[in-house]
Amino acid sequence: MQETVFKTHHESAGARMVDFAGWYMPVQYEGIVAEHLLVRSACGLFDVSHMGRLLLTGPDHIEFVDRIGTNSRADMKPGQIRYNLVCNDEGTILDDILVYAGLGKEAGESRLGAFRGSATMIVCNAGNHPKIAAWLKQQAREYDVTIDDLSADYAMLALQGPNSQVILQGLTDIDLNKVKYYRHTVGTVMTIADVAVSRTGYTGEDGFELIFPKEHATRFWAGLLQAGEPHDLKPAGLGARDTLRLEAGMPLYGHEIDDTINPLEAGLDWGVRLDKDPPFIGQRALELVKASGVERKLVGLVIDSKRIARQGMEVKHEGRTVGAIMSGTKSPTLGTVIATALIPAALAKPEIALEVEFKADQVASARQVDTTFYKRAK
Amino acid sequence: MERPNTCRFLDSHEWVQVDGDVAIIGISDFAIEQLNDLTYVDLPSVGDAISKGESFGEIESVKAVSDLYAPISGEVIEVHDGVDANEFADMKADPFGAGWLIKVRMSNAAELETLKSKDDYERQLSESH
Repeated sequence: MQETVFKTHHESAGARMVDFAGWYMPVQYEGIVAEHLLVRSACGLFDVSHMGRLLLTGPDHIEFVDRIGTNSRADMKPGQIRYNLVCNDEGTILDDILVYAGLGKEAGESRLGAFRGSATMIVCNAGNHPKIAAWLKQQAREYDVTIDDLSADYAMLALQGPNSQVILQGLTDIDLNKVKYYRHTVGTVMTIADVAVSRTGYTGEDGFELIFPKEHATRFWAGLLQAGEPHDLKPAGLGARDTLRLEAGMPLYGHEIDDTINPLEAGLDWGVRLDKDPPFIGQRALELVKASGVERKLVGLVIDSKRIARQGMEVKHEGRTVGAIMSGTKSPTLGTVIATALIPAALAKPEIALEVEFKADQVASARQVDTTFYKRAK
Repeated sequence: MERPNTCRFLDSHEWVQVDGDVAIIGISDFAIEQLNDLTYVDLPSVGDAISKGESFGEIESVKAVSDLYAPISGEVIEVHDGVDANEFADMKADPFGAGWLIKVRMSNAAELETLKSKDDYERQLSESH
């Protein structure tokens, strides 16, 4: 398995470690539910260094990103971040990514310093990193673009929860009030220069993600935990990360999205710009889907059971199997069993009652709801 | 946690305590701690037959579902309905007492001989960690 630079920190903190997409990662420390509730009420610290971080520069970087991604890059402002999807020619999903527009100022001296200038950062899923790196390299042949894969040399931490700003502000001169949601900047944090700070996250809470050279791992891990102590900050693992993102309606590759699903079926139309010219890879296929209408739709379910619905379990309508569960859990915040499912578009209506089959003679009724089960108070 | 000397164990962490010809069955503190966030337990009904080595139910946590294996064979005479009350409080606080799962009238008490003693079980735990 691959290891992040925080391996010994996780072990010292008593983490239960697992193999996640070939990475040796903490699934929990104190417990998934405890960590989940802590993020919603105070703050949690996540190691997300296993994800891919690629920095693109060169005259064609904007055009290139517009070609490989469904969302628009050309009209992004410096410092803006957008959710985006990489599709194949059939319009099905190779990965979901965040695209960061560089600051458009003078490039800094460090490797990440290029991000201060004209550049694009792509953050992709750990499990898809090799696939996406290869895909981008292949597609970049016709463009004058340089792809610098920072993943092996830069670490990434996510600080998530209502206390995240007060904790981070004490460690940096960056005015975090100016780093709005889905915006980023590059600055000095804990005396380390050229740290990328974004107001992003995968939890549905306020929070920040930091990208910095991995040799400063201990300084950042210990520094954040120390600064966060009066604000109840604790490490949180991938188990809580999953229950948090599911409650917040965020897709997970390999569950709500994969290369058999297109963004329109997955309810991600808002991340797709079908008016791009030249078209992005997969645009023509998605234009056809839009014209004829999606055949399947991703819906949220609240299930009347104590058991958790798991990926692969059958979803039934009037006794007939019509779809399957993509993700499921018992929502720590809401106390109900929630799930996502892919079902025929014609049945995707709140008034249509469905059932989930746990086993041959164990069936529970399911009520359709929006996939955003939880929205934080603003 | 001090485990009762009277308990006998399966490798899969189920324990048995004997009261005459009745076996009381539960799972160990170690298993409960490993499962962590317990969400559901599926137990048999009174009158059901269970067979040594076969699954008699399931216990579920946020991350996974695990089978419960029968350490001995017999007929279920009592089921701890409500063991999941207050987020499985009894199992967490008193896994070898109030956290019991089922009581079984044994059909073959000799099956107890094949189970691990408390000391052997604890040795197993320290060897794998």
